[in-house]
Amino acid sequence: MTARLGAALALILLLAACESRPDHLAVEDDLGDASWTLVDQDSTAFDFPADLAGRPAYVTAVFTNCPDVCPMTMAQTQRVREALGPNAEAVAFVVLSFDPARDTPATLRRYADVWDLGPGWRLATGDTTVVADLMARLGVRYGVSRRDTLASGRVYYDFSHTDKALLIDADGRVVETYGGSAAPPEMVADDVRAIL
Amino acid sequence: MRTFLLALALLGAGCTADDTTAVPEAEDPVVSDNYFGVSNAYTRAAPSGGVSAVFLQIENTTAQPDTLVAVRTDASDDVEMHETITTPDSLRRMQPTDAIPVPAGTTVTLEPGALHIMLLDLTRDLTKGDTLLVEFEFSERGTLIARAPIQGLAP
Repeated sequence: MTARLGAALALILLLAACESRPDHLAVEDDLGDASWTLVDQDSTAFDFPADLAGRPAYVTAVFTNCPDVCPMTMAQTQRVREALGPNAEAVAFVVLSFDPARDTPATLRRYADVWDLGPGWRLATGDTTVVADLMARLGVRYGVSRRDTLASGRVYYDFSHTDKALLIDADGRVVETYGGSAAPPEMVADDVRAIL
Repeated sequence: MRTFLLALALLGAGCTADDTTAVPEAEDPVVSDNYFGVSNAYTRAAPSGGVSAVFLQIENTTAQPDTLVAVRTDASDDVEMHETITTPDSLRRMQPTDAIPVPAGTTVTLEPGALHIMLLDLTRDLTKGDTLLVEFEFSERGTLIARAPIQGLAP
């Protein structure tokens, strides 16, 4: 009898929690049925999204040889962190590279260092096919848009790409997407607080 | 007292309805009509071998148009002029341009997400807090040099 009461109470609390979530943060995609093996800027294995379980994640997709849109996305993500204030500690900030050929863990480490990104950031890359599969699932499109040989003899290539950020809840479900370089920080922060 | 009355009289004279031409509207900028220059240049921190971008304003209040045809800096041997665009299928992409026109009487703004100077294959680190010298070559007026502060992620 006590167990039944407890279960009923838990169900009521769960329903109440679900009802408190704004409609626009309804589940768009449950990533819990999949797993992508990545590696972060410290060469630590990163099982996406399982390693994020228990906390919301703000996820963006960039490549570090991008001088314009991707830094805007990174800057906007930093502004989201600032807008969250103390709540930022409860959120994972994940930056996925869709250019694994150049964005090795060491490159991601330098990228993080140059911009003074703190421990709250996780920059990740992985095997080309794994990254491609993950990007497809997240709705991030990208493709080489130019390829040139530079003065140094080095080959440079550039991407056309989706400018996107995603909010993933503590259960690994995508609940909102934004323009990565233009997401209004206060609006995103409000969304994050609603699912904390 | 005499001084006070004199000041009051001058103040009253200055406020007459017939004297409005002497008072500029607040939104009217005070500019020279023969100025050509670059201002507000900045760039972003980036590691050697990486990429960065330079942003600035080119102000031309003269009656003569000009064109930015080349940009040079000691931090890169591959400097390009770019415009970031959104493709019809909503992808963001940069496209190189050979020149940036600066029509007479305009200010051309190079800013994130739009026109910018791209520095490829950096030959040294661009460190936040340092300054980068950038040389801008115009077809009519020759070369202008600007100092671009190197900024962090979110200026």
